[in-house]
Amino acid sequence: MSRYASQRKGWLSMTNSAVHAVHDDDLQAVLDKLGLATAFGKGELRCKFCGDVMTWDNLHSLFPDGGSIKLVCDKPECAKALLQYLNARREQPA
Amino acid sequence: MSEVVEKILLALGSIFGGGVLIAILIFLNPDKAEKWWALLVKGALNLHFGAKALHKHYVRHDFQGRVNEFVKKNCPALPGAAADRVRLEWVDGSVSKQAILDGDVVVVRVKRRDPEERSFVHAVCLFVSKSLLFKAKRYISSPQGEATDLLFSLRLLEREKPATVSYFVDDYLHPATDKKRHGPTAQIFDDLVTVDRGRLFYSVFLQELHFLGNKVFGHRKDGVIHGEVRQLIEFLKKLADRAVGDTGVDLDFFGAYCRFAVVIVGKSDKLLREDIKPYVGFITGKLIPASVETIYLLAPARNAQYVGQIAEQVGGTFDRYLEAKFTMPLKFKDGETRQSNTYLLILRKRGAQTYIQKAS
Repeated sequence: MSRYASQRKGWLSMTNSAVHAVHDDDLQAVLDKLGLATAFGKGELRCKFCGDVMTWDNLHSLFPDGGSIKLVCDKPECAKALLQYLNARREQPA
Repeated sequence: MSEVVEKILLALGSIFGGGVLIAILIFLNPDKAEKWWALLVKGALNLHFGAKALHKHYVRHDFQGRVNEFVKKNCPALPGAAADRVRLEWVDGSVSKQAILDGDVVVVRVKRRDPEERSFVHAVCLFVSKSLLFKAKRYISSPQGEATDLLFSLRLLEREKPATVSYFVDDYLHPATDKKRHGPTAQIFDDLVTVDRGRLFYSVFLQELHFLGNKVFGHRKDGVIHGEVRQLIEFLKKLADRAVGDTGVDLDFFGAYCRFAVVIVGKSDKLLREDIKPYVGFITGKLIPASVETIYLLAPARNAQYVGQIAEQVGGTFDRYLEAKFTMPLKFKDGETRQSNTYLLILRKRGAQTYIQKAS
């Protein structure tokens, strides 16, 4: 990769960016707090994109959508669908 | 007695000096220090020392240290990254549903048992998706944005955590670039890999998209923008394949929204010392009338002073945007590729158009 000797701050519009994560140690507490634990435990929650039942093994992420919290499973196509969905949602109307 | 005191002072001096040295190193390179700290924590984890408490520390500092170091080192080479510092923020039992909804917070799950460090890949992909060219992605097509993200993520993982690349390829890259299912993304990704072989030209691509993202459109013409980005990639592919001295390849791109030129200041030191006027004349006589907004002045490192003089001569129209020294591969007509110490100065037109009217 190229190595640059100097750069100005003006190169980019730079901001801080946060990635949010939940650790396994806190997952139960987070699901409790979000009011999802009971349904999750009963196998009533499904992946937003493929409809598979969400479990401890396949939970990839969660995100807000339409006023509620949706879950995403760890299938490659669903992880990809999540990124596409977030990008599409970011687009402004023409 | 004095010998003992001397030894104590020497020891204290060494310890203090070492501490100061470490503090200076951390100050000068916090990202590398964070990576080292993560490695220390990982060592402790492998020894089953404080495993429960330390795993979150390890994941956080490992992610932040590696991503921040990559962005810091490569932002000039990979512009368009919207963040110069990434933070991994843990969501725990103190979170409220309303905070998630209001903040539009996407939460990635980090598994405790994660030998392939898949969580790292998920977090990187999410970071790149939300941070890279986040304004330009409003305008470019989904496959164009997706392919750009994939190449950026791939380069980040290759450099910072090579062991995770195979997982990334299987779970992110291959599903997106399977030509049967995702033709456009696959094609664009292939093209960007070609552009990236010229190193600088992938940077130019990201930089131009970054400028595009800063424009505001009164009436957006997505089709025109998508077409222009396609043309931009084709243009840069040719530049990346260009051999030194080849005059048959265009060095300027006059699109509706992206208008830039690469000016190579490659003449010998002797000729430049006598005269830089041809370069200044080209900029004032051709590029300024053509409403070029960005000029990439590219030269062998030895010619940096002359590039500076050229920039001064056109300083009434263009501001210095960035200067950098780096190595890049140059193709020669004999088929050989050699690394060259290169100097780059980017000039940006003062008052470059930011609002595109409906009628434009």
